[in-house]
Amino acid sequence: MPLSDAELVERAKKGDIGAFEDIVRRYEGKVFGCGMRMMGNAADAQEALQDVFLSVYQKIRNFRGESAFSSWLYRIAVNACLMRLRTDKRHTSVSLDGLEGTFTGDGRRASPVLDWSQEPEERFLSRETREHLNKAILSLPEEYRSVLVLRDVQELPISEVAEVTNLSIPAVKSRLHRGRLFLREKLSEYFGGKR
Amino acid sequence: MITCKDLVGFLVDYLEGDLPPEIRMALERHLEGCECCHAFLNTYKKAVSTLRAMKEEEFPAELKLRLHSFLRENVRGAFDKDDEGR
Repeated sequence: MPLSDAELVERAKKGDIGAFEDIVRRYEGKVFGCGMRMMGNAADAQEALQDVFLSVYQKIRNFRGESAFSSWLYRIAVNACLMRLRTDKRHTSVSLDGLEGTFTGDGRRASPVLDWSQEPEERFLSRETREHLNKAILSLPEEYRSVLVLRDVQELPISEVAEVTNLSIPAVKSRLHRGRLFLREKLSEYFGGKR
Repeated sequence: MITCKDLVGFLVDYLEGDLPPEIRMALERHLEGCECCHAFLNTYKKAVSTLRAMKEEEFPAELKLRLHSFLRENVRGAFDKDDEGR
């Protein structure tokens, strides 16, 4: 049976290089996936990946086990991506207002909503849709993007996203919601509808 | 009573299963009678599930080897055996 994260971490702290390698192998794909969604290209994701595992090696003795090891590692990963993004001058900013739709005075929807969720599955899996979605993720402000990537792409529980990002649970939920509304809107435009 | 506008604000908690039962029931009653909110919920959920499908990002073997090679150079003793065969 494979060793748990906690067992591997204890061994790695004592200098067991094999345990460190096992940690790398266990998480390299996930960290790469996180980097791809955060930064949008393999070259930057690869650079961040190297930073992350070098930091893990250098700092693992400081890991006290107060949170899950995966939360600690994702925090390093998100920070590595943010550090790289902040040195990148290609910056876009988008508005996250008005994504809920428009309402009448008594709170009813003022216009119909097109239900594109029933489009054939292959349209959602197509390269074109993925590229469109990827572009939309990358245009989100970083603080929304990291929450969305951790919860909806990496599927971390909300409580763990809060630990990784040092945000309260309501703040995580609020950012997640705005990020999702933005992507829903982008997909609505893509599938030809209006909200 | 829940309005269309209220419903949007409850979506994260609804999908997380974090709504108090009375609000969840009121929300579901609203959904039964409101085509617009039904469509909004469906498309909100579909945006999330499409994102989840992107988790399966392939980690190219070449990049994996490059990472191991980087760690071999920077961490004493790491990945000093041939990657093949593991």
